[in-house]
Amino acid sequence: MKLLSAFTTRVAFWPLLIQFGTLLATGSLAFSAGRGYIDSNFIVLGVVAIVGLIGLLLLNVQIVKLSAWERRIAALADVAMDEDSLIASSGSTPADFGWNRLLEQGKRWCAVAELEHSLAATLSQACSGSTSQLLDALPEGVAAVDQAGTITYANGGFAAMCGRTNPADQLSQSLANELGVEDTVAQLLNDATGIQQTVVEWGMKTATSSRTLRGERRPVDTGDGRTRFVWAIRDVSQQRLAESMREKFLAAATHEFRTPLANIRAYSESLDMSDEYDAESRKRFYNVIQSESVRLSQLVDDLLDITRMQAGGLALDYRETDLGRLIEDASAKIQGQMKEKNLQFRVELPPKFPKASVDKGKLAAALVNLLGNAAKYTPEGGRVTFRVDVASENVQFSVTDTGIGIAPDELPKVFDRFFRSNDDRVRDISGSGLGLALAQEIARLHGGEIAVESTLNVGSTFRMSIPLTSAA
Amino acid sequence: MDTPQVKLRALVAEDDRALTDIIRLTLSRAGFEVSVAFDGQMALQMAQSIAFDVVVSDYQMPLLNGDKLLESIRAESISREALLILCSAKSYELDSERMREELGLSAIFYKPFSLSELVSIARQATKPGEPSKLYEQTSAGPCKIVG
Repeated sequence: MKLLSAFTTRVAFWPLLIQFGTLLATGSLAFSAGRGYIDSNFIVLGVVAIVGLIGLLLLNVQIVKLSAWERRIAALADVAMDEDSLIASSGSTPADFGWNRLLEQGKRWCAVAELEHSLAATLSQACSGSTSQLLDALPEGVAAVDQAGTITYANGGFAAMCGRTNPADQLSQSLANELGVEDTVAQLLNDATGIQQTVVEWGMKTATSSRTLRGERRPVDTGDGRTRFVWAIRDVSQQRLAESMREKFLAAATHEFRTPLANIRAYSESLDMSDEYDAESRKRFYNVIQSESVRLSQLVDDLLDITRMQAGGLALDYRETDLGRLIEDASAKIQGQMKEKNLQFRVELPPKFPKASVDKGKLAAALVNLLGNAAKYTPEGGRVTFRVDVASENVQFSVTDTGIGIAPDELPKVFDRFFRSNDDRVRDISGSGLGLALAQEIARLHGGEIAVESTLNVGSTFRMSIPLTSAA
Repeated sequence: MDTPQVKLRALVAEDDRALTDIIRLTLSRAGFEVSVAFDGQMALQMAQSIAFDVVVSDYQMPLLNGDKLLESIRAESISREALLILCSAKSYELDSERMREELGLSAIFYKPFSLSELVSIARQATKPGEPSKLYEQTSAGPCKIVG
C-alpha cells in the first residue's frame, strides 16, 4: 500500500487520472456514437472540449502551485524566515525539500547579516569621535610631515612629548626643532632621500629628566604625487633602562662566577705539575679548590634565590611561627663565628613573643645573614648586639656591631646585588655581595623593610622590621 | 719550565688573595722576581719605585682599576717599558682594542685562564737593551694575544 501510495501521490497520479478521464469520456462518446445517440461531429467537438477542460484544470492547479511559490519567494525577500515558511516534510517533494534547504540557508545568512549590522552599529557608537580625536587618545606621538620635515599634522601625544599643550601650534613647524634634537639626530629625522621605513632612536635630556625616544617613519602616498611621512614616536626609556639593568646584572654575575673559576683552574693546573710542588703545597691547593667550589656553589644558590624572589617566582611559606625559637636558632648558628673571633655577643629579647605568621626558613636566613655580617666585619674582641623589639603591629630585629663601619658614599649601595666595599679591610673577607640584597628581599616579601645606620670605624646597625600580620 | 737567564722583575696586581698567591708562586718558579699588590694604588706606587719588566694586572681592583693603573705606568713610571698583561673577569664589556692601541698590551687574559700561557707571554719580556726573547705557547686555551 505504501508503494502504491507513493506511486499515486508522487509519480503518476495526475497523468493517469487525465488519461483515465480522457479514455472514459472518449469511450462513452464512441459508445454513444455507435448506438447512434449522437452525431460524429459532435463527438469530435466533445473530445476536444473534454481535453481542453482537463488542460484548463491542470493549468489551474499549476497556477495555484506557482502562486504558493510566489508567496514563499516574497516571504524570502521580506526575510520572513519563521518556522511557518517551512514546508512540512510529510508532504514534501524534491522541490519542497530544496526549498526548505534554501530557507534554512537564508535564515543563517540573515543571522550573519544581523550580527554584522549590530557589530557595525556598536563600533560606530564606540568610535563616534573623529579620527583626530582617536589619534589624540594614543600615548604614542604621531606626526605627519612633508618632504622638508615640516609638520602637517600632530596628535596630542606628540605635542606632550615636545612640551606643548596644543598640537595645532606645531603645524608648519620643523619636526626636528619641535623635538629639540641635536643636529646629528635632526639629519636622520629629515633624511627624505629614502622613502622606505626608517627607525631612529635618540636621547632627550631636560633639566629634570632624561628620556629615550624611538621614532618609526613610514611613507604615505597622498595621491597628489607627493610623498609624505608619518612618524610614530614612543618613549622607550623604561624598556632601555630595564635592558641596561639586565646587562649590568649579567656582567656583575659573570664577574663573580669567573673569579672562583679562575682560582679553581689555576690551582688545578698547578696540581697537575705535582713534581714541582711538595705534599704540603699540594694539600693547600686542594683546599683552595674545595673552598672556591663551595663559594661558587653558594653564589649559584644565592643568585637563584634572589632572582626568583625578585621575579615573584618564590612565594613565601607563611606559617604560624614561634619567634622566640626562631631567634634562638639563628643566634645558635652564629655562635661559632662569634667565639672564633672572640666577640662579645649579646642578645636582648622581650619578655614575651606574640605568634607571628612568617616564612620561618627565609626569615632565619635573613637574620643569620645580618648576624654573620656583623661577625665578619667586626674586628677581634669587638661587640655584637642582637636586639628584638615587639610592637602591636610589627617586630623589629636590630643587629648592632662595633665593626669597621661603612663609608657614607657606600652606604646607599650596600643592598645592591654584588656590591662589595672598596675598604681594604673587606678584601680578605669572603662574600658574594648578595647577602644583604637577599635579606632586603626577604623583608620586602614579608611586607617589611630593612634599614642601615653606620659610622666608619665605629660600627653599624641594621634594623629589619616585619609586620606581625604579613601573611594575612 | 725554562728559567730565563736574566732574572726579570714582575709585578702582580690582583685583589683576590688566592689568585695572587698562585700567580706569584708560578712566576717565581718560572724564574721571575715577583712583587705583589692588592689594589691599583699600591701597584702604581710600587711601579713608580721599582722598574718592573712585566706587570700582570687584574682589571677590577679597589682604589684604581687595571686600565688606569696600566695607563699611569705607561705614562709616568719607571716601569713604562714593562711588558703589560691584563687579566680580567670581565669579557665583552672590555674595550680591548682601545687598550691594545693606547697601552700597548701584550695580552689580555680572560678569567679563568691558563697559568702556563701567562708564563709564556711574561717570558717575552726583556731587560732594557737585550734582544727580544720569544717563547712559544705551551698549550692551547682561551688566551687572547693582542700584541
